[in-house]
Amino acid sequence: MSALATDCLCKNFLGVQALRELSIEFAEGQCTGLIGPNGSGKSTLLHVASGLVPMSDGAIILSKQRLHCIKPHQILKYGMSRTFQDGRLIGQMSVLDNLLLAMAERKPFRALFQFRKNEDLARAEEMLRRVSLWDKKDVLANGLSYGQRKLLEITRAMATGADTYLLDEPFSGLFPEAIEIIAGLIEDMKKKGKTIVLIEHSMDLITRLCDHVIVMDAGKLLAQGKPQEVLHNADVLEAYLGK
Amino acid sequence: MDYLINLSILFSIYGILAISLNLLIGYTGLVSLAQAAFYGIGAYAAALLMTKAHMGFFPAMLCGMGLSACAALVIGMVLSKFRGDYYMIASAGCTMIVYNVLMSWREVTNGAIGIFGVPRPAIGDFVFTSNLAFLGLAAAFLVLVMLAAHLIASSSFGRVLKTIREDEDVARIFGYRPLHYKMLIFVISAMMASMAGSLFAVYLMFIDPSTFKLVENVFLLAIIILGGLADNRGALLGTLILIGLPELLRFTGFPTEIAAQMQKVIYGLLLIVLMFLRPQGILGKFRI
Amino acid sequence: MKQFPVIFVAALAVLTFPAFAADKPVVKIGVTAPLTGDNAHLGDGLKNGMSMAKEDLRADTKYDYQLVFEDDGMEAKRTAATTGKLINVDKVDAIMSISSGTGGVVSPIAESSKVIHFGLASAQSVADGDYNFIHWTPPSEEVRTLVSTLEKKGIKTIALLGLNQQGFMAIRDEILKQIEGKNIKVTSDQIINPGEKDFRTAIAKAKADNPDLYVVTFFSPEIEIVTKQMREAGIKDNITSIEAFGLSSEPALFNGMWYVDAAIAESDFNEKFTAKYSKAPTFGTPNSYDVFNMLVNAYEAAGTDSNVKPSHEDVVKKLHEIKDYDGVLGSLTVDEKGVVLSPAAVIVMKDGKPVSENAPEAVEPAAAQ
Repeated sequence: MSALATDCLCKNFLGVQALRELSIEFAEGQCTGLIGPNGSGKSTLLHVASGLVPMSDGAIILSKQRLHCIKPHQILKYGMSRTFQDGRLIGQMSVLDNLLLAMAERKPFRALFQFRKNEDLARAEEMLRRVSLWDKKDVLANGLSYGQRKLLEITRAMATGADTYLLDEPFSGLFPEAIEIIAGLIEDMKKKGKTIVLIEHSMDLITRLCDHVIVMDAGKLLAQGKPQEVLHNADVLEAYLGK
Repeated sequence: MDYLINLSILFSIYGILAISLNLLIGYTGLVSLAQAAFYGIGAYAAALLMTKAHMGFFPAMLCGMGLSACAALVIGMVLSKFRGDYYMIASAGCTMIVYNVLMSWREVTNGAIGIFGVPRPAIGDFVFTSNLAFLGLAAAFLVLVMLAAHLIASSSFGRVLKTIREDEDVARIFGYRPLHYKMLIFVISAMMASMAGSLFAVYLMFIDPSTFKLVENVFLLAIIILGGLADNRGALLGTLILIGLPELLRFTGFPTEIAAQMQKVIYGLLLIVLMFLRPQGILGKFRI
Repeated sequence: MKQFPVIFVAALAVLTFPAFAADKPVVKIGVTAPLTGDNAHLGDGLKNGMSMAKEDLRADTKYDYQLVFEDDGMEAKRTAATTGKLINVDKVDAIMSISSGTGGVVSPIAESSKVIHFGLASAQSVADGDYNFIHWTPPSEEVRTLVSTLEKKGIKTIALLGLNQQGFMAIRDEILKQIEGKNIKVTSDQIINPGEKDFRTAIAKAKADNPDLYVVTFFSPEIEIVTKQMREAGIKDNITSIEAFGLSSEPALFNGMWYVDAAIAESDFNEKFTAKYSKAPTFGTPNSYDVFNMLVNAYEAAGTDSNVKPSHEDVVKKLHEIKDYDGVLGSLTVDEKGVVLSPAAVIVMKDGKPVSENAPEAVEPAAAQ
């Protein structure tokens, strides 16, 4: 059973084929590692799947629905949320407001009459305490350190309560302490039965966290399988390490 | 004293305008130059309905706000097709269109001559003839608008506006539809500007199109940039300075021959110094 | 020593004279006008006209007359502020304003504060109420002169081409009103919004009906542009105007053409003004000179006690009594609405100078320099 799948998905950027008839599946309730060399199309896949970049051809299957066009504001309705590689927090907003953004009313008229709800605040407190950001709740996101920004970014995605998470390099550039916290969050999510798509370069983390690994190269599927098998696959080693 | 009351009335009216524009530019990042258009629609709606249909001020003002809301829906839809500088230019076009309609639709608006004899508002038998009473009314509307702006800014809606201002994609990913939010804040802001226009018309008891030119919008823009974007107190402070400072300079006591010119020079210098010291505006939380 | 008492008395007189002068009650006249910005030249002309009138004033007046000038930039909101300041801070007895838009703002404030207001405005509503007056040849008067001239010259069809501006629109409305029932037809009536610089389409449209005469009403530089573009289109001398040729900075362009203007100042006045300020009087300068003097006359006539200023009501009464006053703009009479009736004139442009058609002599000293 797949939470997210692609069927002959293509994406062309001015003649460059970023995704070439890609057909892959991300199994429900599993953490799937998405690896591949730079420019292999991992981030493009996440952008297309979250509707930020329109697909050129093919389809995406999300919540059992075959979609040829996805609008970004719809993905949450399909139970999906994501993080960004460059950590797109709202810099001029407080840490707490950044988090509440993921929880509040979506309809404009209702949002006009909705203020900070106690239950949202309670949830926000719990989540921020988990990543040691509660005492920074009133600090503008711009005032956070890089590591804190990454923590808030993933916490914000989790606060949506989605079933599927697309995590674009959540560990990159982090100190070991922060890596442990995020790894812990991902393990918790797995326990709750969430589906996770994890783009990551560290093979140690992939091996530790992922149930399944998909290797992409030049917009195509190169290999997939259990982490241990895939990481010893000759094709993968060649593509990745140039050996 | 009565002079201060006069200035306070102007301050209240321009305070409403500044707050309404700050909601668009400061909170949402929509650098709109269409605010003078709604200001004009409100002023003319009140002036015309009160002089020609003998409507009371409050229903006339509400009609003006309704009309502005409808116009804002149409204008907002058109403007939603533009981004950045193009948005600004297209919105300036809207102000020019409304100005030209006010000038040219002479059967209704009396064109460049304007509308004379606009009565002051009344509640029952009480007419807001004295400036002090009128200040009470204008200040009440200012407080109402400040309250509304404060609630908007602190509601979930306001949070989404700030998100849209900085990163529309993030707003979308979290399930918000920026267009809907932009349209709603555009309409709300237009209704506030319209309210200010209605107050201006009954305050002056005369109205002509010259007030609703593009340059008025630039003045409003200067107010909120000076005061500081995305802060309602900043908008009010900017209004206080740009309305009050030229008046204060009238008392500098330069010889008559050069007084007016010197006042302008000092005014310009002070603004440059202020912007130099606080490029983000005095209480600013955001820079364009 | 014999001379001592004489010196003493003289010294006393010298010492006390200013005190006496200062003891005169002060009548303050406020002026709200654009002293900076695009229309600063108008405000400047107004300021100088008033100042010159004050300097020309005889010394033996019962009251001391003072002027207060405020810059309104010709903006409605600033005018509301200047009017408030003049009335409430400077406590002026009278205010003068220029333009219909400014007059429209001042008029209701003056009325409710019971302060005398003279507007140089063509919109007649500026004179609404007891305390408001207009000193500007009304459009009705100018148009009456135009229409009678048209009839005299046997003109049957006219094309109107004018700027969408308060004064010119009042003129246009008046033309349409006054030719009703007369044997004159308007073949085309086009209104151009401010800022337009290309009139060729409008000219072609007007020309299609081949009217006897084109009536163009614009400010400078549009008036020159439209005239040049009409010449290019083959329309030579059958162009006339109300006021506009007189506002041109290139009057020689209109040599040999006739037009109707508001009352024109006496040549003495123009000469004296030009000598004093080394620039020609503008739009409204002679009016402001007359307004100052009419106010002084009304105050002096209304005042029974040189220690107490007359009430504004009494001054208003005296202003209404003004009849055939010999102002620089000719013989002036205030009507019951508070409008100073000054005669309009048919002017012919000769060598770049406006010359009254009825009088043989030049209105301005023709080519005196």
